[in-house]
Formats: sequence, structure tokens, C-alpha cells
Amino acid sequence: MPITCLQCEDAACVKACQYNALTRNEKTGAIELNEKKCVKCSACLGACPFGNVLLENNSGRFVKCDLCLGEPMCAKFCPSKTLEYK
Amino acid sequence: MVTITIDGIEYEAREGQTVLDVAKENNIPIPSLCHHEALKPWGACRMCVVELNGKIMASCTLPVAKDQNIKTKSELVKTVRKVVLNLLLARCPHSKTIQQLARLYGITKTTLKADEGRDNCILCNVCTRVCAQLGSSAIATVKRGSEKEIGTPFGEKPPDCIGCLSCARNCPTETIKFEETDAGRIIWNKSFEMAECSICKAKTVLTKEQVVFFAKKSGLPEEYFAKCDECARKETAETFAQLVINPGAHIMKAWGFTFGKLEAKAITASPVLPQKFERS
Repeated sequence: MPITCLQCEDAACVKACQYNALTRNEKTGAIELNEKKCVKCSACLGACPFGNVLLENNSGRFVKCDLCLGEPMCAKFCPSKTLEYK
Repeated sequence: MVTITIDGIEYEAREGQTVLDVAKENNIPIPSLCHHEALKPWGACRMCVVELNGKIMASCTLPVAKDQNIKTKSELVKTVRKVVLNLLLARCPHSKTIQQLARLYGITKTTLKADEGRDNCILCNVCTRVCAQLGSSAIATVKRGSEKEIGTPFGEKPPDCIGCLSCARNCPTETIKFEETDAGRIIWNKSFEMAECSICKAKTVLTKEQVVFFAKKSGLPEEYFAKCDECARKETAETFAQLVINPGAHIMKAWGFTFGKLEAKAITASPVLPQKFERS
């Protein structure tokens, strides 16, 4: 089963970040990671109890689902339209 | 909102912003070394200088004000940036970051005496500020004058360092050295062991010190941090699967009923009803 960020209301990643790099986008409701503010301390990655903040091995960047700024590509490209975004 | 002019074009700016913030928002190139968006402006490197009413100002510490007329490409700005780069190149002639930046301004070699024996530190203090904002403050500037450098208390292993590598990962000149293996890390001569996942016992990406520190700092339980993301995802998937097979299970559990665990494969077969109820 594909598991992606649950965009928690009281998010652990936001609590763990000491640099205000994780903020909620009021339009989409998603918690977005501002890469410019991220200092790569790994606190959010450790904090997420669902394991949904990931460390990209090649670039060393931390990534999490931001609902593609309101147009999730996973849902768009899902061939059987099992994934829906409403 | 205030309107400021940068290189002849008017831009809207919010009060409290700095000129560098506005420039970055509007993709106006201003070089900077000591600036980090997560940190308060510092104004150490002097690379981000701009011209305001014939005077040179560091744009990272310059608050926006009404009717400011900023120039970022004037001859005066270029001259000052060249002087700064000439000095930086003399301090650390082998730094790739400084070399690249200097080349943009037509400098390939410093006109001053290059300091060959020194590391590439430009004393921008990004490392110490990142560390301080996290709350550990394990490193600081030590010594004064021309001997000033980034160091640990008394040159020993820093007791407050948690091995998060933020200082090294954010160093603009990649001066701070560290060693990293699957089992642990070494930074500032201090060795760290990686924390073990509480479920699969594999090494996580956090050190033991990081687990304790982050949990304390965020007020979250330590178990959150001492779990690898694969195990966490697996657990979440299992929870979701259970919710799909038996949506009421968590309510029944809260009411004091327990079931035998249902197999996830039941989802493809005919619907399975809970076998037995037990009042616990």
C-alpha cells in the first residue's frame, strides 16, 4: 500500500523543526518544506511517526509530500485512477 | 507595504523585510555567503553590498524603507565586491566557492599575499548560528584578531554536540570535516553512534544524542525518533490495511472488545467477519 504524508493537523515534523522550515500552505492544506530554510538537521525525519519525511540519497535533500502545490502528480498519472484527489 | 526601487524597477516589499529578501523574491542576483534564510541576518561577509544614495550598505541587514533607490550593479558596488573577494581569496586561496565567485567578477588570483596554511573558513558564522538556533551551541568563535577561528570549548570534544552535521552541511566553503559510516559519525573529534531502530534494530539516520536532544526539544516521545522510516511506514500501512478490512476495530477496541488480528490478504478474498468477540 503506498503511504504518503498525512498532512497531520498537529504535526510532529513541524514541532521538531527549530528553523520554521515546515509551514502549512493554507490554500492546499499541505505542510510544505521550505528548502532554503532547511538546515538538514534530520529532526523532521526522525519526528514523523509515519516515516513520511524522506532523505534523498543522491542530493542529501529532505523531501516530503506537499501535494505538488495542489495538483498531486501521483493522482494525475495513476493509470487506473485508483488514486484520487478531491 | 512599501515600494522600493532596485536597479530602476519598482518592487513591492513588506515591512520588516530586508533589501536582500526582496531581491531574492524577485530573482535579482545578489551574491551572499553568510546569509541563510533560516537564520537572522548577520552581515559578516560583505558580499551582498548594494548602493543606497551613494553609500555602500550590506543588503542583508538593510531594512526596506519608503522610496529607497537601490543599485546592485553600479561600478561602486562592483569595486567593493572585488575588494572583498580579493581579501577572501587571500585568506582561503583554495576554496572552490570563493574561486567561483571571484571568477564572476573577473578575479582569478589575489593581488595580496595568499595565506596557504589556513583552512577555507571565512568566519561567516553560519555553523555557529545554525548550532545556536537548534539549541545546542556546541561551537563558537574562539581566539581573537587574526587568530580568530571556529572551535569547540577549550579545543576539546564539544560536550553539547549531538552530531547532527548541520554545521558541516551548511558551511558555504565546505570547511568543516566529518566522517560518516553506517555505524556512526565523527565530527569535531567526537565520535557518535547511530541510534538503533526499536523494531528492526537497523541503524537509523540519527545519532543516539540526536534522538534524546530532538525529543526533549520538541516535546515529542523518544520512540518517535528511535524508529527507522521504513518500519514506521510499514506500521502505518498495516494500520491502514486493518482499517480497510475492519473499519470499526479501533472503536470496538476503545469500548473494550478485542479481536484476533485479521490478515491483510483477506482483502482480496471474500469479506471476513470478525471471528469472535471477547470482553477484556
